[in-house]
Amino acid sequence: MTALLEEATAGNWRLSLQGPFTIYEVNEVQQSLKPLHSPASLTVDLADVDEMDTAGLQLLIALRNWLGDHLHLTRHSSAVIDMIDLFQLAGFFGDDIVLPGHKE
Amino acid sequence: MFSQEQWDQLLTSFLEEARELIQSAESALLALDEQEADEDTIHGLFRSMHTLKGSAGLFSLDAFVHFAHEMENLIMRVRDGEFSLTPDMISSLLKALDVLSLALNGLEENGELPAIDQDNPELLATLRAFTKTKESVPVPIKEAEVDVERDQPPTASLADWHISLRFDHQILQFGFDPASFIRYLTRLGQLHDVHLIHSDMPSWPDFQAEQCYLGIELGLQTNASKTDIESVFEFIQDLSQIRIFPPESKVDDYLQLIESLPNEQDRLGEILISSGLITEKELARGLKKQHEKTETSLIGDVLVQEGSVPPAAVDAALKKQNQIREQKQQDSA
Repeated sequence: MTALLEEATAGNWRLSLQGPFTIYEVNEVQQSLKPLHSPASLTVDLADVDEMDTAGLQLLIALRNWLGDHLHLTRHSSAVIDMIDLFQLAGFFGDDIVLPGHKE
Repeated sequence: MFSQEQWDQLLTSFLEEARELIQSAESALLALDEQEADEDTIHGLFRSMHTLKGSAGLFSLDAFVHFAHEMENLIMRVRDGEFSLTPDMISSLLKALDVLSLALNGLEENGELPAIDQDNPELLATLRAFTKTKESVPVPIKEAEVDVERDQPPTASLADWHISLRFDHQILQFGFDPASFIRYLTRLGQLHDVHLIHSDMPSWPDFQAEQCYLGIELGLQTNASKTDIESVFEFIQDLSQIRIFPPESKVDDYLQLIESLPNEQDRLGEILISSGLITEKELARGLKKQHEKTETSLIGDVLVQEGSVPPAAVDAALKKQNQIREQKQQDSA
């Protein structure tokens, strides 16, 4: 897992996740978000998440609860979509869900 | 993170159980090879394979489950009288048990399950072929056809169950993934109204990513027995509160569930829906009526007048809702 946090423009942050996003990685991901206090926005790029379990999903929910509309989930991988579908949470995450053009 | 010691304990108990099950399946097969098939032995054999597959599924040992599934499927058809067990079938099943046994050794020694399904494609195909043709002629079958649908009950006698799960904080650290249990349930039947309950989650940054703050409410349409459903959760019974409501459950049973839910529960409507007491449509109609009526009218009154839910259910839910409101007021004060 690589969790890369960068400030794109003032107050607008981007977190890019790569690899598995499971109980083994969630602590690292949470730690990587330490620089954030009250960001204007946080975009989480999920394109390269190849595995996600309930712990990963729970972390996204916690971020959503914290940041509300200031959280943007983007480029969901199929592993992420599978979890969101399983728990029927597309509505909870709102318009953040963008289905990929082709899902293999 | 769960400690090495905890993981070792869980794994040891799984290995022990799995080996016993393999042994009893083997004895049953040897007995069936020597004598006329008797119903009790075949039933016992089926139960062993079923439990074996279920336990492995809870540890996400996919290759193992894949194998055990093919074996179980074959035995299930014999049990159901579709065809009788031939010496060829017995020999393939015994070989497959050996494969499973070696897989367990590999798991124990290296902490990793060998890719037994990829390593033994012919044996898998043979097992599969038995269930496709009564002549026991192995025919190649596409991977895509291996699915769980054959496990699913005929639609004629489907019944609706409600399952309520609350997980202990440590469950993730113990290596269990609630999602894998939900996925496993789809093998028993059709899931509906899956609600992930996450209102007990502390807010950031108090949230601790390795702790579990979740619960799940869901409906399951199946003709599996209560024992079958319970066995899915066997490995986490000490790490969660599991409530399984059979189709014949009374409103009172759900009232107890509502009463026992933690304070920070979701809105009345969601509680009632997830408890299986009313449908979303009934709730929507109730909300609409409420909107048309006086501002002071309570959603509960409207629903009772509409005949959607018994008054006692609404009282309990309202009481819960008030508790939540009071709690929130206290919190914000």
